[in-house]
Amino acid sequence: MRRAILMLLFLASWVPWATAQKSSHADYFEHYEGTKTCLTCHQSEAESFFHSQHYQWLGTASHIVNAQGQALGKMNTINDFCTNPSSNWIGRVENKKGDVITRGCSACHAGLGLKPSPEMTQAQLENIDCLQCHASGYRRDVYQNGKGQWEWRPILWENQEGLDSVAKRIGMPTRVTCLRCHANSGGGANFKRGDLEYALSNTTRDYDVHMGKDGANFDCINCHKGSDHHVRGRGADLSANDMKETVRCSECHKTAPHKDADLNRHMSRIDCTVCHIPTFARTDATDMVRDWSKPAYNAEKEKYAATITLETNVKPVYAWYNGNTQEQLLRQPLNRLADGSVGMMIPQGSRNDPKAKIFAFKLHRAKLPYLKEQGWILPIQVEEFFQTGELDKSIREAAEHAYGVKNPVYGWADTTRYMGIYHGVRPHEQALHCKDCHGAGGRMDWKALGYPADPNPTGAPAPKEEQ
Amino acid sequence: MTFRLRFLTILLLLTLPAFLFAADGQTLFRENCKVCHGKGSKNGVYTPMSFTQDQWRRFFATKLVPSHKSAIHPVTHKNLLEGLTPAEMKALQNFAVDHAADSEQPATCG
Ligand code: HEC
Ligand code: HEC
Ligand code: HEC
Ligand code: HEC
Ligand code: HEC
Ligand code: HEC
Ligand code: HEC
Ligand code: HEC
Repeated sequence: MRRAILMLLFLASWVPWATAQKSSHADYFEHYEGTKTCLTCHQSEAESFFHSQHYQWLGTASHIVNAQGQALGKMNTINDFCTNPSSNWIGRVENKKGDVITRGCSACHAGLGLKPSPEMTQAQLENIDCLQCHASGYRRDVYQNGKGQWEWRPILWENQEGLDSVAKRIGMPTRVTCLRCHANSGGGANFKRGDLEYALSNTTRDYDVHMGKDGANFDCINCHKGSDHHVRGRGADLSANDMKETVRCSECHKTAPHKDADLNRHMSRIDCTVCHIPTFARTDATDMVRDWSKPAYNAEKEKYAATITLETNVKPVYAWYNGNTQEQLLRQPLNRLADGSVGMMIPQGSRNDPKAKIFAFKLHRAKLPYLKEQGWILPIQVEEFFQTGELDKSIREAAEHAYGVKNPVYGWADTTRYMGIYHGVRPHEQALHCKDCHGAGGRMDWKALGYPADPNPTGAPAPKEEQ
Repeated sequence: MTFRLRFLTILLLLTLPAFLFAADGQTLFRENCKVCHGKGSKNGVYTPMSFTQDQWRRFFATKLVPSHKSAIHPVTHKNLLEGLTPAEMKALQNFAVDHAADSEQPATCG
């Protein structure tokens, strides 16, 4: 009997295609010929996707206090990671060995290479790359078409049988499909967010109670699903809000979920994430400081980059946040903070603000160029810089592209950005306890948070009569 | 033992495993497939990411032998298939499957 089972297992390992499940779209079309194949049945889903933040990279920015009614997004803002995509959209930059060192910012756009336009045309709808989110075996690369333009194509474009098989494996987005963009943003694995790393695609409850396979085994969309291709939850440092609705822990948990009243009394002033995510970047190191003024040559990859300081197992910083953010926008004067740095994304709120709570953040510092005369923050032509290392030229070109300024006189500014930490919630045994915050060596910077001193310097429970 | 000798022994011990594991799938692919299917080849350009995992499994199970039984390795001038042990064949297949177009890490053979 045992041998028979072993034999079966052995056979199964050799002929897996014989046992493969029939894919959901097996009979819906014969050959995949690009997005137009999907549009024959899903025109309305394509139209909804066209209007999403994921496609437009521009949208309502109700939570940016200085937005002045403008639509915002990656398209028209500058960040302190890869700066701005508009002059770095698509291409294939190779090093001397012939390895691709960058394919442009559109690598993280769910389109096939055209920039999103405000008007909805058929060409724009056919530019949507549905398979990136809906077919997990799908992978793509940049190629030059007959007219010399760059475009994204499935790597199987010359293998119709293989492409058809992948394009028919349709399903809802998995952790892997979302993480392919979200874990690799900022130019490397986990560089940007710190709490959105590849490890989440296949992990345990101990690492993340929600996404761990032996935990709730949630996909990203269990928390982020909205409707009509809009997702919920911009966090604290994205410009636009794709939907009005946020994602809150209290959708699934009680607002005061603890047996211990000493813990529950903190709920009105401290967000759940503060105690339940003690550290982030537990597998891949995250970018904590990016100094664009100091080009660094990576001999192994044969490319230039900014000087980046990476860290793992980082303790968050804690700050008040009421849901609104001040952003350093183009053509606005530099928002200098008390320490002299420029505030790229600064959460609003204070101890006196009843709508604010203390949240956990990754504090990202950087050095970016700015126009001295106008006092405007500058992007960098990063794709070109990666290859040549010619920083000055890459800044001049970007100044012209972004502001039409020729021969810019620029200086360097230190910048500060607060990025909310929401993922990597650990089992309750690993949550912060009284003495992690109260008493000597606690995590809270009480003065910075607006307290005269630690309200409970011994870390002891409150006297019973107060409870 | 002189320092020099000890150094050489250590070096030998350290490099030994590299010889033992020289039969890794990527090297095998480069030395036995890319030689005839590299960039610009008239025989067709094939790297692991030219096919899906299922296509590769099918290729190794049913197609490789009939289409390559008389292939002569351009460097060793020996029969290609006779020059590969069953273990090497398995390593080649695993490499192709693990880096197929629909795998988590599609790759060329470097
Ligand atoms: C012939 C019509 C037809 C074509 C062509 C077609 N679909 Fe569908 N699709 C359907 C129908 C009907 C459903 C709902 C029933 C089902 O899930 O089978 C569906 C469901 C879906 C779903 C939801 C799946 C789920 O698990 O709930 C997605 C996503 C989807 N299609 C994407 C695509 C994409 C991407 C393409 C192009 C590669 C495509 N479809 C091509 C008819 C089609
Ligand atoms: C093709 C790359 C790509 C894929 C795939 C992708 N995203 Fe995104 N996502 C982005 C980019 C880029 C932004 C930022 C857009 C901007 O700020 O203008 C974004 C923004 C978001 C936001 C913030 C929205 C807001 O209100 O500002 C959430 C939440 C999000 N994505 C979740 C997901 C989830 C969940 C998935 C999987 C279903 C997913 N993303 C798949 C690239 C991607
Ligand atoms: C979509 C519903 C949902 C949302 C939103 C959600 N949770 Fe959970 N949470 C669950 C489920 C289901 C479990 C049980 C998983 C398990 O314990 O294996 C869980 C477990 C937990 C646990 C572990 C409890 C224990 O027994 O160790 C903690 C802590 C927790 N969640 C905190 C949070 C925090 C903090 C947030 C907000 C960032 C949040 N949850 C958002 C559904 C949710
Ligand atoms: C950035 C990732 C992303 C891309 C790209 C994308 N979708 Fe979706 N799609 C989602 C998410 C997330 C959902 C579930 C939530 C929703 O409906 O908003 C979804 C849901 C769907 C559904 C099911 C709708 C339902 O009501 O059950 C269909 C059908 C669908 N998408 C088709 C498409 C088609 C066709 C395209 C290309 C034109 C496309 N999607 C592009 C992320 C994406
Ligand atoms: C347990 C619920 C939960 C799960 C599962 C989850 N998220 Fe989130 N995510 C949140 C919360 C809460 C926020 C903050 C939302 C807000 O402020 O409205 C957030 C914010 C975000 C943001 C905004 C930027 C930021 O601050 O981080 C992105 C992007 C995002 N999540 C992507 C993902 C991806 C990709 C996955 C899957 C790998 C995922 N999330 C899984 C709860 C979740
Ligand atoms: C001040 C720190 C702190 C905050 C804020 C906090 N928790 Fe907890 N939480 C803990 C600690 C410590 C435990 C472990 C208690 C124990 O082991 O007795 C815990 C336990 C839990 C549990 C397991 C059930 C239990 O009672 O043991 C859940 C679920 C949970 N927290 C969810 C949340 C949610 C949801 C929020 C936000 C509404 C939140 N927590 C805010 C510290 C905190
Ligand atoms: C994440 C950090 C953190 C943890 C963990 C924490 N506290 Fe606090 N605690 C605070 C903050 C912040 C305040 C001020 C809250 C306010 O402004 O009302 C506070 C206030 C207090 C106070 C002041 C009285 C009051 O008004 O509530 C007491 C007493 C106290 N905590 C006891 C405890 C005990 C006991 C524990 C463990 C069960 C604990 N704290 C865990 C951060 C923490
Ligand atoms: C001596 C040169 C040579 C070597 C070595 C060689 N091939 Fe081939 N291969 C060929 C020729 C010739 C063809 C047939 C071309 C034709 O018929 O158009 C071919 C065809 C193929 C095909 C097309 C499908 C088929 O069966 O016709 C694949 C796939 C392939 N080879 C893979 C491989 C792999 C994998 C290896 C390494 C184990 C390999 N080849 C080694 C010469 C070689």
